[in-house]
Amino acid sequence: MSLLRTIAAGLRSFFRREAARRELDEEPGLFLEMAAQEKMRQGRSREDALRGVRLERGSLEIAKEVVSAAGWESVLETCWRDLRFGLRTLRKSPAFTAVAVLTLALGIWALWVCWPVIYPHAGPRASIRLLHCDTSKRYHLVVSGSNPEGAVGAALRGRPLVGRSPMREQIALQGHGTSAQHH
Amino acid sequence: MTDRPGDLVQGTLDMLILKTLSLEPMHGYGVAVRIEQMSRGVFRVNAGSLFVAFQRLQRSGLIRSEWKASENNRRAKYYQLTEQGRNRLKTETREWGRQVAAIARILEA
Repeated sequence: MSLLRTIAAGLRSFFRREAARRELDEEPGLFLEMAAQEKMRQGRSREDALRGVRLERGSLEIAKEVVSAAGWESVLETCWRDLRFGLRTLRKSPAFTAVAVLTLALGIWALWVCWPVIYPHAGPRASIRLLHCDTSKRYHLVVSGSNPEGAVGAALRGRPLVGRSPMREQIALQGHGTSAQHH
Repeated sequence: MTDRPGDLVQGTLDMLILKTLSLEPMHGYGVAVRIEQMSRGVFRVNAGSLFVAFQRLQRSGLIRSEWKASENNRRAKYYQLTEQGRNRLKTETREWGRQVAAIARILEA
């Protein structure tokens, strides 16, 4: 209940940011005003009264900052602002952006290509390929790899297969994979 | 020890706000003044801490707020205790009594 309320309050002030900010400005301002009025009634000048309030009550600007940073949505807002700032910076220097994107692309591509060479056993443990689908609605699949049973087992939600051969296995699925038969 | 108003005992602001609002709905400045009056000038409430506490209490559903016309016809945000806040005040008051008695026992030993 409390969590829901926290989320709701956060969303409200995030999407009504302008209203929330205005309220945040208005309330401490009113506080300052009321406190100053009190002092002016004791015969102090307006300026002197405002100064006195600030001195006694601490900075209201800091209070505003603390209040606006207290909710979880302020983290969201900061992230959003950072993201926009980042994009703006990238747009301002297209050459740098191009080099950065190319470097990343090259790096990812190189890793993609080299991975199976460096770690030949780390790739997908098996692949399933559809051979053909005849009129009797029997799907002929070729399963290959270092551990075909595992992959097929996962595909068939753990149904056991008979007649395993370690590297290559052909199975037929009746209908839409409701039952599996060795083919 | 000076006679000038000082900060509140740490961790008591929420409880004091709840107590003040249990008397009647009030705006921020009203709460600050009321706490000072009731403490007979011993405590002074920092405006920053006050607004942070309001937000915290509101988010945990202990108080709610609405904008209304104040006594001198200006708009002000009035805070009001919720049922949950009333219950919290009761438990906090009881807990505080226990703690004060314990501290008194230690200091008098």
